[in-house]
Amino acid sequence: MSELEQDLRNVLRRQDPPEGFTERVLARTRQHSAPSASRWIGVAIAAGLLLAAGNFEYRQYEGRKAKRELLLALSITGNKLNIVHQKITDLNKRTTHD
Amino acid sequence: MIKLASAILLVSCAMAQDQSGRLQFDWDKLAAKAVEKTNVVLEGPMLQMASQFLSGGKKDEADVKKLVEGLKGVYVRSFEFDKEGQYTAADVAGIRSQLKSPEWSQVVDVQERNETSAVYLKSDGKLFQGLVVVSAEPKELTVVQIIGLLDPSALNALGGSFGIPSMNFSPKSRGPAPVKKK
Repeated sequence: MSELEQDLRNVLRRQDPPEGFTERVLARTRQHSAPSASRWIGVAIAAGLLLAAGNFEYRQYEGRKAKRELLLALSITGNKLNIVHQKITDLNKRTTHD
Repeated sequence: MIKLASAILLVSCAMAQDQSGRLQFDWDKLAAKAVEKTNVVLEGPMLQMASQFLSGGKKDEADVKKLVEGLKGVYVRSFEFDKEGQYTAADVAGIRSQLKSPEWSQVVDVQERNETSAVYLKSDGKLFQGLVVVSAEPKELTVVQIIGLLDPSALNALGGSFGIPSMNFSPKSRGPAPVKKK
């Protein structure tokens, strides 16, 4: 047996894993699966925030639209009341002159 | 049996609509002939939402905010036609016939050759509970209905804003002096 062969045999000889190796590997595996769950939680939070932002924007849009409609309604009402008021004023003037 | 159920359902719907106090009319009939139409329906949460978006810092908007507090509904139907005769006197009479005394008081009724304008108020002696304006011109018909408690002071405060004339609204006098011109 040459010196090289002896060296290889020494290096590649069967060796038992150190104590607790299996547990450590399994623990590491569990650690690797944990980020996956947190990623989902992150996605859920992001989706929730997106929905909340969308809902807020929609309410803002609806609110502004409702305000515009209310002011339009008041403007039409005011315009019609003004016409009526003008007619009454004209009539009173004419009645006074007559 | 189905016919009876349908009839009961129809009657229930009709009663529900009447209870809301909204004027009933076949608006679609007029809308089909109109070249321009405005339809504003604001009630319940939408009306409150509109109020929330009014700025308390601007005087006119703050006045509107105060006015809107007691309101239940604001309805505007306005139709503009490209020619005369698109609605009949019977149509206008059909709307006005729903505003009967003693519930409603006709405070203004101006009738000219081709135009009629009327203002109706509903009052409990202290506060107004409703306002209706019916304006019929040859090529335009507008009906405004406001349901709910209308604080006269808030209504007076709006005089000069949004084209609303400065008038002294008071439930005791039941609105501006009645004037009828024929």
